[in-house]
Amino acid sequence: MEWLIYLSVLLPIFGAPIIWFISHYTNKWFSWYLSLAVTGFSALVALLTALQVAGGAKFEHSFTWFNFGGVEVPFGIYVDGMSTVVYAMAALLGFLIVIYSRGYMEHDESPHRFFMKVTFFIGSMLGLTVSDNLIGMFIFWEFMGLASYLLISYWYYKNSAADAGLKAFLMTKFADGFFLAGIVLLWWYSGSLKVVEINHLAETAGIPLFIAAVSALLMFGGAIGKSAQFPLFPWLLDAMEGPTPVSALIHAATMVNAGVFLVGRLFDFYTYSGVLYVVLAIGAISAFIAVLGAMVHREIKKIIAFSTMENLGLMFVGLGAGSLAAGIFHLVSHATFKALMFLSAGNVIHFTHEKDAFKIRGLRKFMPYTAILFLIALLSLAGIPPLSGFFSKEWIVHEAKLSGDPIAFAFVLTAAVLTIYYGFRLWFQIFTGEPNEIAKRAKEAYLVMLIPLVVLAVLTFLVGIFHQSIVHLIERHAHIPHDWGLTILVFSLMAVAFGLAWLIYYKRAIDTEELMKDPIVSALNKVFYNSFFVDFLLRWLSRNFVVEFLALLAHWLDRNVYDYIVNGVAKTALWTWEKVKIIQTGNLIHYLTIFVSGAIVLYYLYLVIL
Amino acid sequence: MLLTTIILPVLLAPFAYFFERQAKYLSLFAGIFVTFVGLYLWTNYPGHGFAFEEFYPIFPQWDFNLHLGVDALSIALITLTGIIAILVTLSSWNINWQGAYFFLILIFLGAMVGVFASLNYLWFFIFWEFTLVPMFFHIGIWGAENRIYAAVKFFLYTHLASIFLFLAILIIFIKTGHFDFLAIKQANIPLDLQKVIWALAFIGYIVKMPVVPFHTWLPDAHVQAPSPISVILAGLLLKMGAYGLLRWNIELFPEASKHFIYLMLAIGLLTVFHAAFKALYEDHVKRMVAYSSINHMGLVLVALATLTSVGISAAIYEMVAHALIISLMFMVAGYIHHITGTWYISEIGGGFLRKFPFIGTLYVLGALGALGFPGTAGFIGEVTAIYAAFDKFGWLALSLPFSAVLTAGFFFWAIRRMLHGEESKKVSQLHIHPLPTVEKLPLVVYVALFIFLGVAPSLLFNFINGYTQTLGKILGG
Repeated sequence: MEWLIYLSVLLPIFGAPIIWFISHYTNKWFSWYLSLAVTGFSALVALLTALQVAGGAKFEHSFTWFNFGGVEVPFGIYVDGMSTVVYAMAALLGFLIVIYSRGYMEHDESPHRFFMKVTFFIGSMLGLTVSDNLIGMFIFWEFMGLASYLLISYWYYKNSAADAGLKAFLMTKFADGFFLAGIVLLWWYSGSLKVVEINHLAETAGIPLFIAAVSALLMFGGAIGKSAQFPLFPWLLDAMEGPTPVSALIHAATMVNAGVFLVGRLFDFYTYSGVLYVVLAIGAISAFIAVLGAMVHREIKKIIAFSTMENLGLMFVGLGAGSLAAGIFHLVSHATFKALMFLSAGNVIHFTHEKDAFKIRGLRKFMPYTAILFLIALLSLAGIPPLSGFFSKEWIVHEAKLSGDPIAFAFVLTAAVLTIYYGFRLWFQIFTGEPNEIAKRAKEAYLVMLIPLVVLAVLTFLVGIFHQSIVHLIERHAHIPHDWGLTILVFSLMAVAFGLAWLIYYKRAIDTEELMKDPIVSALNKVFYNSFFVDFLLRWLSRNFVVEFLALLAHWLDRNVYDYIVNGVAKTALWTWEKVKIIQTGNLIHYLTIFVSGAIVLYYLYLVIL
Repeated sequence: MLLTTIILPVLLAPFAYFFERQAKYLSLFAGIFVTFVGLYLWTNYPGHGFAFEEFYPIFPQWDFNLHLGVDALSIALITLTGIIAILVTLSSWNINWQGAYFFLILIFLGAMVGVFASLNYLWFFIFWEFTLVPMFFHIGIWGAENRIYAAVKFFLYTHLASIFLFLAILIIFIKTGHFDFLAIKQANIPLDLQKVIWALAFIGYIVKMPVVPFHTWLPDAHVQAPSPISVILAGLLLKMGAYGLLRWNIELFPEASKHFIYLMLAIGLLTVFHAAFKALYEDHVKRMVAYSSINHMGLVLVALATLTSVGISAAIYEMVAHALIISLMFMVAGYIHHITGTWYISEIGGGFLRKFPFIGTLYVLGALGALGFPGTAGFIGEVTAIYAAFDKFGWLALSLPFSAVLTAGFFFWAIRRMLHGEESKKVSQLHIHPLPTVEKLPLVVYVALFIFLGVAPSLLFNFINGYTQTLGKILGG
């Protein structure tokens, strides 16, 4: 079984260039079949693994990858309940999205390039989930970053896509600098790279607390970048330039969860290190910023991206409040309904050719199935039972309350409640009302684009219904707390938010244009729209501090100090020659005089010194 | 065996000059020969100490004897020399005035093997200086617009540094009466004098590596040199500096070396970050690569400064990784210049990748290697170097991952400005002229090699671990 797990990771990674190569020289769409075969195999292995792990099995295997000067670096797999849930979920979603892409990418000129990158990505994500050590995790983490970069700038000949890709790559790479620093620090002090050993050492307090805290924070820095948390989130919003299946797979359901998964994988270590409250705070702030952004944006994908950021924040809140199962269960639950939501949005965008939600109206009649699937995703996102989102989100809100931090709880509650508002704002706007021209030219999506969505919708129900067993797979002794008071509070607030969305975007009883004339509302709108100007700040810093100050300084030093000295030496030599050459008169008498006087001086010196 | 490897390329050189049309085949043959010798030595190396020793007395009174011998470090670098020689020959397949060009390449090849195989300090110095002459002519004759300035600067700069090295050698000889590595090691030189010798030779080596602030010859030389010669400069010539530092300073004077740890660290860190930031401000395609190369050599120096077995392993690995990755980048930069006719990224202005996918893709792959992306040899070199630096210097080492972030910054920003984006007017006017297969081949081989070494690093580590652990014990005790 272990070798099958290895194969499920390595086959997509090493197969990806081969897929490109074969398809490039045969039929470009042949890549779709190859990719299906490879990711289908991985999905099968992952599901089998999950079944066996659910039955009580555990898979681990490790070998020495290399040894440098006496220090060993291992490579291997370790699949326990928590990782198998994410592993199986990622493999299944990957497979479904490869199916879906056949429809979405139909007009693309080089699909083999697309499927190469997606297949490579799926292998990397699976590698991250099963890796048993930090270097292995870092490798796959970086692979995902590359795949994300390549797919965001998939249409690299468009300036916007190229910019978005660069931003995503550099921002996450910057965060990865912290991650690597944290790994090295922890590696040196704990003497091990394996997550199991690190967790065990933490339980027995085998790592100095200060070191544990610093390295936990550094690694969390990597997680902030990858999971698009405050303040390194702007890349995720720009990443929507990529093809929608990619947004669904990488920037909603799998890669962005890597940060959450990392903290979850090292959860005992994080608990010991005592920095979970930082995780909680960052998660709560991010969820709050994101939900406000989602309320005011206009582009379908951007709104969903903000929603992803919000939910990632909620996952960190769950972990930060001290519940591994809450965070990871929300990860799985969110992955299913968010993939569903993104792919439904993909259907809308693909068949209307319109990204701006406020230019589409009344699409329900033309895309009825998509409308229903979108609605299911939306209800799950908002947290309506018996869909998966209800169980996971309620739990997180509960954990936030238990954490005892009133500000974090307020942020989380706001985020959880307003979700239904921005969700229905989007849905009412696109699907209800009198159809406009853009809606009229749309038609229902192909079967190949609907079947994966139906599977995902069923999954959302299933995850909701079988939430107990999934939670117990993640953490054996976890129990889901119930607090009817809190549930009633959340639901009554949600009813108000829903009512508001219904009034504004369905009944059109309140004119938002009028509201915007108010200076305070419009100022708030601007602040929310730009996410408190974090993006501006980061751009300003990178341009004015890094490039125009530090890099310019190096440039200046290079020119005016280092090279100046070198040229100075040359100039001094020239100058000396210039001054000394006057004694080279060519006149024999002069030479003779100098020679004789020099000899006298030397003789005199000889007499004096000796 | 070793003598043959040194002499054969030199003997072939005049033939290359007079039989111009066969010159490249001779050079190719010599490269393959050196590679095979390297592989033969690799497989037959007993595992410790110097092996395959040869001794030819020339002037025994003054201990001026051709004493050749290799250990794991030399064998790894000789093999690398052979491989780079093959690839450079293939890349130069269509260069003009081939007779003289390959004449110089062959001379260089012999001298290069001599540097790595020589156990006599004076012979080492002779070979060391001998490598300079072919490079001088290569840059001066086949270079770009400003080649004379670059060639003279390169020659004078490194030659001036060599004078310090020569002084160090003279002091050793005056004190001990020996030039021989093993004899000097046995000799009893007072520690203070050892330090003087160490410092003098150090100047010679770090100028060659090069490190800040002695690096300014390198960007000029690289920019003006034809691309294959840039490959030789980056892939082999710079390795001489690091090799000399390791063999003739650290290994020869372990006690004195300990006094220079923090000097090496400071220079190394300065180099890493200065070069990275400088490259970030760079608009010149090839100059950017040159600074990236300096950045890597800074990392090598940091790793060497640890004086531990892990650090030295990391340094050797990073040296090999740097040779393969930066060579690719120089070749690609050269082709970009060749295609577009400009050196400046802002003048190219976008859309290059769509029109020239082969060169563009290789640029991306090379950039990934340079930033130490997992799966490439650069990653192994970087991670091991950071670990080693932390092991020795503690928290300061945690700044090193950000060197990779900066590398990502300048290379991927360049990709954005030059390869990606809408097609600029400049690019739309360019004609597509496919590369001949013989020139494509070396580029693909670089990629294959650095990915192979990134996936299977134990191949090299297992070979050099014996050497580094022995050395680590000497330095630790």
